[in-house]
Amino acid sequence: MSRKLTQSAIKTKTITLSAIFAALGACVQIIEGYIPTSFPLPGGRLGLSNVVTMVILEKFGLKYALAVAAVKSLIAMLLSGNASALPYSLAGGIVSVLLMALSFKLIKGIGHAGCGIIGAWSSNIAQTAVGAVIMSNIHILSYIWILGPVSVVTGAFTGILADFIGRTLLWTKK
Amino acid sequence: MIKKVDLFIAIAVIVISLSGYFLTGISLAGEEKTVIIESEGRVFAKYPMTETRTVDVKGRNTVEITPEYVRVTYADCPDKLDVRQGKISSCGGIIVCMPNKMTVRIVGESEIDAVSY
Repeated sequence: MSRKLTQSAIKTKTITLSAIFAALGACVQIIEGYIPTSFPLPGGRLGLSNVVTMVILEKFGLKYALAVAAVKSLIAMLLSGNASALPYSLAGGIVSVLLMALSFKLIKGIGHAGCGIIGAWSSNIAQTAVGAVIMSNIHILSYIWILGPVSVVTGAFTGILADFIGRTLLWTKK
Repeated sequence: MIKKVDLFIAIAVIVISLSGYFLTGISLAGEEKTVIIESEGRVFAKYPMTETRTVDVKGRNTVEITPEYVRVTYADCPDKLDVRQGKISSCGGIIVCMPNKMTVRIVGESEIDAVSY
């Protein structure tokens, strides 16, 4: 009986923390949208909200990370009122979580920076692909080559940040 | 933190994107432009804006198409506003000859001018 209770307590704690992180990610995403960038291309942002999904992925697993990515995008859309950004952020978030989980499993000895780079580039590619579909223009896909080196910088930054934040998180499910 | 594998990933991503950029050769401005000539409400002709050519529109207008610009060189109408308008070069540009009911316009592959999100 006591064991069952602790398990449900673990679940409650995990869900609560995931919700807090989703809210945090949505806030970060909105605030980041207000920062003017001198970079002329879309996707030249740091992608700070990726830090949140990365921490959740590392500590709580794929299921919670996917949920956080989806909820984060929805909340950010509702709060900022920018509905046209939803398909971009939703696709980018979910694809990057899936690929980061895959790279954690498949590539041995991968660190946070490499994982962040894979997450950043895959999210940029997913967003570019969504853009190409929405604008029905295949030429937009050529952006992904330019976004590659950009993602190396932003992804390494977010990955290292996720490492720092993950260390301060005392309680984990695993 | 940063491990050896991470450096490999970073280098791999940079190499892949650089080689992809040079191999695919799709430049960012590589959108194909098409010139559409309409006469009396119907599409008279469509040409890609890649080579130089001169088009005679029903003997009343002459349109010159080059990769850089499009212009009307001759018109038999009295005011010749279309000839005087000069060159158009970007998507969305249009030259109209009202007396001859002729329009020349440049369209890109997408109908969208710009996107913000």
